[in-house]
Amino acid sequence: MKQRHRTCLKHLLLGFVLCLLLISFMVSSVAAGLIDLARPSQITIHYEHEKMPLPDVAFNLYRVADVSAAGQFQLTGDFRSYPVKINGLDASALAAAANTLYTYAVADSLNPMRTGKTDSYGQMVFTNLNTGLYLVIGQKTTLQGKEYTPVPILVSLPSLDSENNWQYEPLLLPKVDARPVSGEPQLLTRRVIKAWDDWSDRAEKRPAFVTVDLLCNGEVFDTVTLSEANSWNHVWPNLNASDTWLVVERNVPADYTVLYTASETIFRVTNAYFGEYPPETTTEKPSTDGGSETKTTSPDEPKNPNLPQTGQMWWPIPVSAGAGLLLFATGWFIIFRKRTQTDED
Amino acid sequence: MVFGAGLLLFSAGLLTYNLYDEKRAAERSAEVLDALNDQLPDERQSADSQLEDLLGGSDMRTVEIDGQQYIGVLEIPSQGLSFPVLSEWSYPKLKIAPCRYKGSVFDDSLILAAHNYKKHFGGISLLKTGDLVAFTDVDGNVFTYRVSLAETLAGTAVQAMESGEWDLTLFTCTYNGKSRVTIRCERIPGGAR
Repeated sequence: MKQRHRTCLKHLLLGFVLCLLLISFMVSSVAAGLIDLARPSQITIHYEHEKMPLPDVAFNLYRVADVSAAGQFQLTGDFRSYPVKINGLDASALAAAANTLYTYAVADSLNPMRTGKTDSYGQMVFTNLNTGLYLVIGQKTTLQGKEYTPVPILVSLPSLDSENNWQYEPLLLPKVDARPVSGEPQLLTRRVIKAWDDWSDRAEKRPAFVTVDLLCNGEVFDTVTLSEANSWNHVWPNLNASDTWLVVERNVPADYTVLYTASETIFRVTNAYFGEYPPETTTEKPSTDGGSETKTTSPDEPKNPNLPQTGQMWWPIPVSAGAGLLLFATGWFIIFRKRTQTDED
Repeated sequence: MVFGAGLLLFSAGLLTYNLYDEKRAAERSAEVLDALNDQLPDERQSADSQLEDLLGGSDMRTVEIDGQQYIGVLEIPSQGLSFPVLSEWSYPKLKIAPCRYKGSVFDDSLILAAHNYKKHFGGISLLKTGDLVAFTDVDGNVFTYRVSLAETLAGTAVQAMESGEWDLTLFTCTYNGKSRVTIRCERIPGGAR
């Protein structure tokens, strides 16, 4: 009975929390309102590093998705067929999506819809744009002995500002990767790692291998196959550090999206499953108070309920040695007594 | 008396077998460790945060030695022990070296199981809070941990073993084989050694 009350209480609490979440979501949507899809928009870029404006830097603009009045994106144009998730992303996932779409733009030599250069204050404006999701890619530039590379960025027109209002003319401050220019050519080793974002029971349904191209300044430099045989990774030694290196997965498996993330030396290609997950299985067992108790198990739950047996069998040694000694001594004593009795008789 | 003698013989036999098995496991583990160290890069680097972010959830790379896949080397400096670590566990594999029971260093979820041989995890119950444990993967990335908790779990406590979000867990059987001595460790950020 107590169990049933506890379950009821849990359901009530869960319902209450869900209601709160729903109300807060509705309030934020109402506050932002619907998007005016016909309103002309613009993007202002202010490009600087440690308060130093970076002038004469070319930026390319790509329109990657349409946006609905409710703020949902749908890939469009040259980007329509790329298996990339663009809705419901947090800041870091949005940055990863930007890097992924940038990789495709370079790999497939896509033409930007607009190009412009920063002025002496490091500023430039893309005016008269339709609402939608835009990818902004800046060019590498060298200034005062340093090389500056802007990080690709996705910007939504309109964007939500800090007060949860739609901002149709956002200001963009691209992140910049700055490093000193070295006179000597430097070589780097780069590694690509393939990761799967699905559940382990799907392992058998994954393709046996995937093919990955290594691009050097946009051109295919090498093609490798990743599989369990090479632990889904590959190393390329002695690559020129000053070139721009990217990896792109060819023929992304059906029902998976792709995400490219990278550091200076490691590329990570993640395929995330978006197909149907198997239903959870429920088993009912009668409870002591006459009701029933439901147990939910996920497909990943281990089939063996015990931990591995990792011990040597030491305990029988003292037990059997003690018992053996006792039995042996008792037997010897009985025989000794019998012999003594026989001798006396 | 004959039954008693039989039990004594059984004890002596089991003792001899256990000592032999322990010696064999220590020798085998040492052989593999030498071979594995030969294959690891000479240059070792601390696993930096960027590496961990990028590798989170990735499969750990393995190196094959005598037909077995190894994911790296585990060191317990306070006990002067160092072992190769097999990529997955099975009873025959546990007779060679400690094995990965579950998880990965790349997402701070590694759980290692080993026999309670003296030269495997037989001494982990003596580890104290604050003792250091290090794991080096086959690419030479060093992940350093500090012992945070020692607990004893039932042999059936699978969920308890896998829960708690510990960065590294080591476990082995207790003397009677019914429970598991479990050492929980937290990774030291930056992997400083």
